[in-house]
Amino acid sequence: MKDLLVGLLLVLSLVLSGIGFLSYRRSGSPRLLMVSFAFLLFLIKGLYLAVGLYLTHWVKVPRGFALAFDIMLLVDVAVLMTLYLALFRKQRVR
Amino acid sequence: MRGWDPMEEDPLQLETRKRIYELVQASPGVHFREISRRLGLPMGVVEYHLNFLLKREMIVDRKEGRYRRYYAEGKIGSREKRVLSYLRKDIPRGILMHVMLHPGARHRDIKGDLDISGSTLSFHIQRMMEDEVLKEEDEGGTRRFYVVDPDSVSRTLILYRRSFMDKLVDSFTETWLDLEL
Amino acid sequence: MPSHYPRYLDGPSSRAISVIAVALPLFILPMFLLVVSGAPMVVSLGSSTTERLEDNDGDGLAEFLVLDVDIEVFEPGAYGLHGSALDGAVTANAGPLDLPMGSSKVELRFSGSALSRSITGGPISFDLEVFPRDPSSNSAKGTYRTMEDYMPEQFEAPSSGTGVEVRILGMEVLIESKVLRLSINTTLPQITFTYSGGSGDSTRSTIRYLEVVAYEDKNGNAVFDQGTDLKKYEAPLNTVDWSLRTDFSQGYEISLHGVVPLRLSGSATAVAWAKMTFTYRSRSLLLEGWGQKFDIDLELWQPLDADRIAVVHELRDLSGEQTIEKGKGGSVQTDDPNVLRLISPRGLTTGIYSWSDEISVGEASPQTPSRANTTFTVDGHVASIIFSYPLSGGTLSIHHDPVIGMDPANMPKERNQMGFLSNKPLAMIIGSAIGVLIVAGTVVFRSWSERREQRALIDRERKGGD
Repeated sequence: MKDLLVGLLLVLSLVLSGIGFLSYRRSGSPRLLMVSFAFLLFLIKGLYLAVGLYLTHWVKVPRGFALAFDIMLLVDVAVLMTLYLALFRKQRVR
Repeated sequence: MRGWDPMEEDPLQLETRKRIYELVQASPGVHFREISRRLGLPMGVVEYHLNFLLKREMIVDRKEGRYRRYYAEGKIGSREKRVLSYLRKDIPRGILMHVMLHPGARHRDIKGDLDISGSTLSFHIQRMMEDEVLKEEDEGGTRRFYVVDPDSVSRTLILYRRSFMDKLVDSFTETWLDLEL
Repeated sequence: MPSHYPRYLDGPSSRAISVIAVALPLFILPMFLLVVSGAPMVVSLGSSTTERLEDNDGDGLAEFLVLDVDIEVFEPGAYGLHGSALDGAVTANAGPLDLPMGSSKVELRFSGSALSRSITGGPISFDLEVFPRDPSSNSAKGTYRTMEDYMPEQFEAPSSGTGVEVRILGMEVLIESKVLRLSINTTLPQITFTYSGGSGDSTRSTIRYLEVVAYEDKNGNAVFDQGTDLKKYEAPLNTVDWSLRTDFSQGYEISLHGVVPLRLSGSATAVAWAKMTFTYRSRSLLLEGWGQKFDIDLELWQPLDADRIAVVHELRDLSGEQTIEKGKGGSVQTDDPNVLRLISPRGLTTGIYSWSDEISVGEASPQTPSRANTTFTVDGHVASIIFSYPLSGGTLSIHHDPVIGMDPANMPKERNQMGFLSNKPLAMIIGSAIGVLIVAGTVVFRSWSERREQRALIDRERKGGD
């Protein structure tokens, strides 16, 4: 389950960082730069996990920690998914 | 063309000025900083050329909220400019779309469809009426709303669709910039 | 439509396709390469594993449940085998063993005491794992469910002691506790420490005694300088016929003894002999990591025409991950002046080899205190060590007692606590693909709802509205 979530985390953080930086480019607002940077940090986290788990095996998740690890990743993915879907939410319901 | 001295150089010959003009044409309502960033030009240069184009009446400007927006003159009517400015934001767009699809809508009909408070709705309707985008008619004691020139709104909607990326970026910008403590 | 009107993509489906077409290769392809370039399959568990009970003292109760595990090897090399059941209550290890290509049967012996304590009756399901020495290669996992049902009353503890099992498997003597495994190889005096851990987690090191050399100390510095000093006699220790003797009356004592044929340097014929004994002893039945002595005794049968005699050996890391350093550190507590430490990749001291220079020498028996001179050079994963003993004054007997141990503070935990989750790169790629589809899906849905709006407007306009 953690592997699936790492994949999702990578995609969502990449998309949100991308939109963020584009928005910053157009508006020049420092606030948007900071927000984009926040999403970039998620992306860095995802890349670190991907490299550490699958390439270099630096990251080892002890069995006793498995559930907690999954929950932590799930929350991260939920955060990013919510923020992504918020971009699509119009002020109207129908 | 009015106001253009044929003895002077063709304003469009200068490459930079041409790029600015073309951007304003392609993205009506684009604002100053956006031009600067999207074309990667220093603000001083953009300002100079915008003033030039304004003077030649090739573009016009309009202050909308916190931004000064530019439109290519002659390619878009002033009516369409106003409609466009309302279509950029979700709430006015929603109101306009509802009334377009349900002419004669009442205040509570619109409120029922959108996710906003009564006072916010009234505020936006008021602004759109002042701009002659919406009008109201009293029918048997009930206030009903109509779009002033529905064809122009349709046309504007159809012709000036923002690219999907633009929408996403605008949405992002709106979300995070509108947050205030 | 005039060209200066803004261009936009046609239709939600083409937009979605664009998203997928760009994102998928950009994202998925590198990850796919990651998977492909990753661990190859070098070993797997075969299907003809069998089980049997072992009752050594003939009293009808089994001391061991032995699985003969069928292993398929695709890449010959060193492998370890680990088995566990009942959430790690019962475990056994085998190896590291050098396995050839093809099918091999490896014994896993599960102790009767653990079985009698933990099973409740019925068949037992064992989780098996074969792991290659190279941690970047995949281990092979499987489950073996016993054909027979077993009851706790069928088992008893093996008689060799509490928590420690000693067994002799071919050329190896194995002393095993839950955490530490010691093997003494009888073809070459070699003692290997292994921890029962998963792939990439075992710390393994060995002390290997290579050669005895008697020499003339040309530069008078007492130590054996390979270039300067003159080799008079030599004997590689892997040519000796080693015998094993064990004594468990007080803790355990295991000794390897053999007659070492010393030949004149450069010649093939033996001209002198010495009896050499390596003794491994511990007073306690518990296999504590710390402070195990591995004594060296040399008894020359005749005087040698040489100044000194040296024992050339090495301390070697087998895990590929530990480095060797000189000097004290960690929680090492020893008074010995010479200390070599094994350091894990995380910087912890996992083992030590220490020795003092105090030896005993004598004619008939080693009674007189004397001093050894020792040199060692450390090169990453191997330390070459030479003990040099004086042969002056008619010395024929030499006794030296170095200490071998593992730092108890840094011993890894038992396997069922330290087990790590396996990683599935393919699942990650699937997760990314799901992410891409979600993004594409939101794009499609939004575009579709807007097109619906658009269509309504166009229809209205066409109909002339009302």
